[in-house]
Amino acid sequence: MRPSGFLAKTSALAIKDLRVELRGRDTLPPMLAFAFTVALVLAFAVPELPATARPTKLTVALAYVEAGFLWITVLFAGLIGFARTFEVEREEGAIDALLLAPVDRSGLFIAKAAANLVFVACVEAVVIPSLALFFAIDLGAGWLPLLGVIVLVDLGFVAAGTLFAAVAAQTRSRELVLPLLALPTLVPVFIAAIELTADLFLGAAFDDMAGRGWFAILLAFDVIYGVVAALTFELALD
Amino acid sequence: MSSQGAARRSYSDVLGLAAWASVAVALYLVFFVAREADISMGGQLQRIFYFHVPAAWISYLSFAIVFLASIAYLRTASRRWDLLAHSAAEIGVVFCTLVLITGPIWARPVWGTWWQWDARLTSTLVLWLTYVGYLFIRNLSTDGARAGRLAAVIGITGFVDVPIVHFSVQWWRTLHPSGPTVSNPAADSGLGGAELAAFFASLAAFTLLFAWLLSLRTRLGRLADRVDSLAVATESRNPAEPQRVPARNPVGEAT
Amino acid sequence: MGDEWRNATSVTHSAWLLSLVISIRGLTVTYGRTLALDRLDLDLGPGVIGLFGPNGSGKSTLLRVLSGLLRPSAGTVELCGRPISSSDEGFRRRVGYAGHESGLYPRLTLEENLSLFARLYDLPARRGVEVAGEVGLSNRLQTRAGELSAGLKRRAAVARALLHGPDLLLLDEPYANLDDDAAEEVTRAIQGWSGPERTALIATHGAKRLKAYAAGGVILKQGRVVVEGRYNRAREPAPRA
Repeated sequence: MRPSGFLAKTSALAIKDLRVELRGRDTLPPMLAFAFTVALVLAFAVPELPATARPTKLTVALAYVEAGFLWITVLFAGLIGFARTFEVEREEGAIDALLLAPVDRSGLFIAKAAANLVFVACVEAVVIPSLALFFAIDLGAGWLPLLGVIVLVDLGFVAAGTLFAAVAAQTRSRELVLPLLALPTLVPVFIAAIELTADLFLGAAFDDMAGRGWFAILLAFDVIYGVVAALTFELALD
Repeated sequence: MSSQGAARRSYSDVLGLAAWASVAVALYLVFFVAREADISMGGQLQRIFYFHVPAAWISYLSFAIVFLASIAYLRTASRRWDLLAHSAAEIGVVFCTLVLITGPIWARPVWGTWWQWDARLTSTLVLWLTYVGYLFIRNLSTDGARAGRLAAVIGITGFVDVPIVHFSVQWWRTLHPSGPTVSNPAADSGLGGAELAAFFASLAAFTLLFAWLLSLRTRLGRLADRVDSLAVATESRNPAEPQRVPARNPVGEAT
Repeated sequence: MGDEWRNATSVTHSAWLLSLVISIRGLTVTYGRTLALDRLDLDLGPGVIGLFGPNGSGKSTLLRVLSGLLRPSAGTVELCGRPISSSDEGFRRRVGYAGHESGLYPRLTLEENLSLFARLYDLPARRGVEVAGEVGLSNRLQTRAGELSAGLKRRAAVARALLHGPDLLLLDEPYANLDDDAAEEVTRAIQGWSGPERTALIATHGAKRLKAYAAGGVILKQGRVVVEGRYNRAREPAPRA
């Protein structure tokens, strides 16, 4: 197949998902509202303490809790979004028409994953500044490395999440099955995410061994699951 | 019963007999021959280790079988791989549950805590959750014919994750060390010949039990399949009816 | 224009075998204990063929198997000598299928839907507009697919199936919910599409409508073929658009 054909079809499909969402507006706005509300409630669980230049033990613990809350919120909002992007295909049996079309199955996966990635990025764009505000976190120059962390985490999250959403879409109780499938698998991603984010909240840099180890784990997960998900996606649908 | 079925049945029975015999031997060795461990390792409670460790190894073996059988099923679409994967998953979850129960029972008095986030414990928990998910998919699939394929996908992706989970938690522990490690309670407790004998007897017993349970469960699956196909055959209008000769003139335009 | 059924005989015509398009042997589809198709044997040649039978006789299941969307439990299905497989991209290009659901995205307009599918089949977007015209839906192109009535959705689904000019057209109840005018449009579209190398299998409860222009028919009951045959009549050549 011509490479340009593949790219054109994949992007047409991804745009389709975004356009469908734009018309209905029943996934992203509720996702954002949900994420913001969860972040708000979690914020009440944490006492207000400014991050100090020299981290004390209490502040270190707080940084981990805040990082945890951030990623929990993204995780649950993201999973909701993944389930919804597959619901779109079921509504009038469009998935059958899609499977019959001469589109590479990995193209279907990439298109769905791309749309999911956009949704997750939107959630993060709302949640992260909100929590930074609630917890009075000043990252300073740390925003750039945080962006790097977010990119790596999102890639792994979306790769595994899209695959599991395809599987869960074909079960009853799919809103419950999806978290059950995704959460155990995503454990390494979220440990890494929380560790790296907490370090950033504490003002640490990444040129030490700890940071590099987590980046290595994220990279390994992204590569492995990117490949595994792209390969097994068509088996899950076919 | 077909001759193949009869052969399988007697093979299974022999396996069962051997399993229970080895269980008896192992129980004797564990409770009457192995010496009581040091109080720092739990005293009498340490004997749990003779059940806990073999159960863990067997559950890992089970899940490895699910992984391989799932791959085979996706490639061959043959029901026997699907059945093997399903059976191994069920038995694996049972043994894994035992591991997750016996571990904390020992840990509480010895470590002072029910649980800790060690690489091995966390990986075992993640494995358990993954294959519980596998079983849920099989039961909750909207299209029964596809349940096997969907579950096989999970059987594969879940297993692939285990090394990643293990390494990430190990790394996490390196950075935040806390509590005793699980590395090798066997070495720590100063096992002698009697204890090793008890351990291997227990391992043999668990392995035979696993093999026997697997043979029973797959047999159950085969019988259930037979029932289904018999039900289908009675629905078929006339199984004995000779095959209708297909039209030599195909339905369509005259050429 | 009279028509009569003729039951197939076992006269051997090797020439027929050469013109065989679809060859089905021992096709069985089971869901647990339900038997949907029961060791079906059928040969289908080129032309438009009606698929009739009571509800639950297996018509929809047969169409889904032929489309490649459903894997049979047993038996073989071949198209021009090659087994049907949904993973074969060449096969997917040659097949057009419209099931009970429209297969369109409800929140996109008809035009957006059809241009998307046109693109997926490597066709220019205007082909979508064209095919909408062929089924008489040109004035509905800007309507969202979810807002179309049941009958319009059916026609839209037929349009989607015809979009890429398939060699094998599979339609499940395309005439359901259609008034006579709309049904005429669909019939005209199908006749316009049909050709010497093309086969259509159309499941419908409206046998009379189909008999008017179809080449043959098959009746299913309880997952088996009970009657099959070609219609014998003098026909005007099918009008080509």
